[in-house]
Amino acid sequence: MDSVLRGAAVYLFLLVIFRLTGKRSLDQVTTFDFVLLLIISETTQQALLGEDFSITNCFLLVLTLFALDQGFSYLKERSRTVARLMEGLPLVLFENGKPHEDRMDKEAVDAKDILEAARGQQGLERLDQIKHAVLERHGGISIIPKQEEAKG
Amino acid sequence: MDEVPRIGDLQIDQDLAHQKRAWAVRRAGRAAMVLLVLAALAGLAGPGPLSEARAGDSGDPLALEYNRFTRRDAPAELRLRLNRPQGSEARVWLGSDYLEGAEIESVQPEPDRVEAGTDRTVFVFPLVEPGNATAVTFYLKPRQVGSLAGRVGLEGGPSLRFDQFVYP
Repeated sequence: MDSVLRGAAVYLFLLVIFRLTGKRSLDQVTTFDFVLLLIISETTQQALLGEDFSITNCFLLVLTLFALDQGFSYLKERSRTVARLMEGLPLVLFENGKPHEDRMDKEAVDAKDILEAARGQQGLERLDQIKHAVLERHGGISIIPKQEEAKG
Repeated sequence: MDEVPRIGDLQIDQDLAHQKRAWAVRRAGRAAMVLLVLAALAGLAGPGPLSEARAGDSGDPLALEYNRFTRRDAPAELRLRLNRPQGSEARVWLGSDYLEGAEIESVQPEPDRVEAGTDRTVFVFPLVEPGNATAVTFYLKPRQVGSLAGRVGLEGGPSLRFDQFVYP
């Protein structure tokens, strides 16, 4: 019983923390973030196992974590509300070439991030070549360029 | 299948009302995270300034220092101060209820012997200088979660009550 409760507590706690810290953090993994993740895994591992290093405990924990994961992905598929709560929604940052500054502030995205995505994905050079920029659920920025109109 | 709405040219599942709520929740959540860290620093989640507690005055025959908040399986201490103990040995007892909830890892100084009573366990310490103040520390690990009440005392002398809360 203890293992299942420990597993569930740690799973839910991490779920809430990662949702609260925002989606940007998931896409921009710096070297330091990677080290932080290692430390987090080390810390939670101790609390998960406690002093019980038996194989049964290990199996129960793995089962609990997988069951919760499967359970939540089932719920996400069935219910739009759960999916929104767990993964958030995409957000349009540039609409028809116009930036939504308030949304960018809230999500801590600036023009440099958008330009970086534009260069990387579309080979664009300037902000005025961008038609739409969308902050996706996983934290990445998608760029849709303006169609080049043949003039004169 | 849900129809994905269109916003301008984009067919996208954007929902600004939901987004605003999400931002509000995130702000509240971040504030809560900061508060929790501050509370932990202050000692509300385990040892720390607000967790330090004492029972009995320093001039009393028996005084106790302990932590109001501890955590399961984490090291904890009960620091006892004995003033003017009489006789050649000090007989300190701990209630069995408390010892069911917390496991003694070690006692400093080590007792000469330990005697089991009906509702208490007695630790007997020989005294080098009877009449002089001395100190005894119990190093423990709480094993049960929730509030944990204990009694500690001197045989034939005063006893003290103390309450702890054990976090999981």
